[in-house]
Amino acid sequence: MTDHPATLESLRDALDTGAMSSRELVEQCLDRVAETEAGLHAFVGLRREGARADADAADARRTRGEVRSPLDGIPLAVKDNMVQTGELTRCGSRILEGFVSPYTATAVARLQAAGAILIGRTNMDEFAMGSSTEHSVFGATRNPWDRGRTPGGSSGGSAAAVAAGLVPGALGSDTGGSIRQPAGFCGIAGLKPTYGRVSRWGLVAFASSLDQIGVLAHTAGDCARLLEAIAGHDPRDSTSLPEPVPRFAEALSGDVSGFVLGLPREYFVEEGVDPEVLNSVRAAVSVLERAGAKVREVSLPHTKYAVATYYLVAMAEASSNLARYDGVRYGRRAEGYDGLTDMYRRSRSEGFGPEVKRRIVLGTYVLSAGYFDAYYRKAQQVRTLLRRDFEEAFRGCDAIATPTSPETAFRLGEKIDDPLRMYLSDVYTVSANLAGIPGLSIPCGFVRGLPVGLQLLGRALDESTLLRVADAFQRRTDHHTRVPPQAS
Amino acid sequence: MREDRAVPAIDPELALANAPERQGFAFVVPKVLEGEDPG
Repeated sequence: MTDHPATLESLRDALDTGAMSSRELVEQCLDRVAETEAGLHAFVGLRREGARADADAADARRTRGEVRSPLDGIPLAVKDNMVQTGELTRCGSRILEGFVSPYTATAVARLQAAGAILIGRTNMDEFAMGSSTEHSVFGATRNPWDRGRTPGGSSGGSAAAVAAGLVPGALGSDTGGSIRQPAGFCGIAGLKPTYGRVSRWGLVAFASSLDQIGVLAHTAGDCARLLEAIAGHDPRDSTSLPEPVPRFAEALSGDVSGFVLGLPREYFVEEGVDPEVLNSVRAAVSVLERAGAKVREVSLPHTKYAVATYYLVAMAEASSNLARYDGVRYGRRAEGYDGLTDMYRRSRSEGFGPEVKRRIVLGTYVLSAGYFDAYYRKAQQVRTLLRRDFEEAFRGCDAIATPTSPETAFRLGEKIDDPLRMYLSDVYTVSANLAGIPGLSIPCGFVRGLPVGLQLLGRALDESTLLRVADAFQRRTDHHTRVPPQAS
Repeated sequence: MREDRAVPAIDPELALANAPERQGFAFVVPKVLEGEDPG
């Protein structure tokens, strides 16, 4: 494991000093994608000519002294569930074949306004339903650290693209861990902001009370810069919070003296977890203790209900959100149908993959008369208890530290036929989505050559603390500087 | 809350741009006849 990955910060320096032009940077990215795509399959579409034109425009702005932001001229990638005018958006699904979006998601538009160059769209589990990026109609993405393993999911394409050095940063979405888990599996940083911090306008909905757009990059500093660019109120998203966006990057002092880190006892149980993963996380916490942080045990007593609660809520919301895919206004329409109902049935049966169908059917069931109270209402009540667990824990600590996943990246095909085993991959991540709080995964070690993720959870709207703790850790360690052998 | 202000509706051409089948400014779907079995 050698070399240092190119970060947003280092590329900005290269542009500022004239060592590289944005056009050269983009050509380098496109060349790297072409070299690695057969073995990695991180991308489902590239904007070659669009990216080149945008790069030329960025170079012209720089020449005129009109640089828009620290992201101006930097190539980035976007997960294929965030719409962009004139670009195909497929969400890893056959049912959206041929769909060209007439508008651009707010988060994507903000990156464009900042001058970032969007070079392409990354692979994902179908409609963000999955933890391995194997549930994609375009085929699986592979982990740059071991091509026989998954990159995690559902933002696996974005995570693999950053980890392999194809782009220095990418957007992902996180409904139950879909940024943090792939970030952990791929050895990079992944941040899910507070619910409402980033507009969901233009994010194809999976579970609307859980979905959040977030960022993937190598460093906490780069995550901070990306989050600054995309966060903020959007009147087109009624769940978008009005709070002003802090200057996240300016708070990264490296100083965590006096910070209190909570370790939830329920997350450090040996059963069902790779003991080496727990050891890596404990060692990471020790680094922060030596940096001046204090550690305290906390309790999140309703943790054992989190996965069940998450899947009940998520599937219920998914069944409602995916009702729009009916072959009428966009997407795939079946042939040979006999009447409207048959058209719906054939289009959806042909268009959705098995995992999406499973979730729609289960979600419809839990919302149905006779079962609504026992399942959906009960899940919402438990969700409140989970949120209160965090509120109580944060009375005594500034951030909570946990493993991101109970294991390192698993093999392709290992869990594809066992949905319950796949769902249990999310045991550490789902609670943050249910509670609406921010979560950040950073690499904290390697086990048998595979990255281990340290997850930091924070109070609502306190991404600054998470980024500060993560940055302090990265100033004292080098896990985030390592690149996969096959990518160097 | 946003202002209660009338704004133009979506351009019909944009709304129909991805239609599997269209006729003028309408989406074409199979007929739904009275008495048809909804399945």
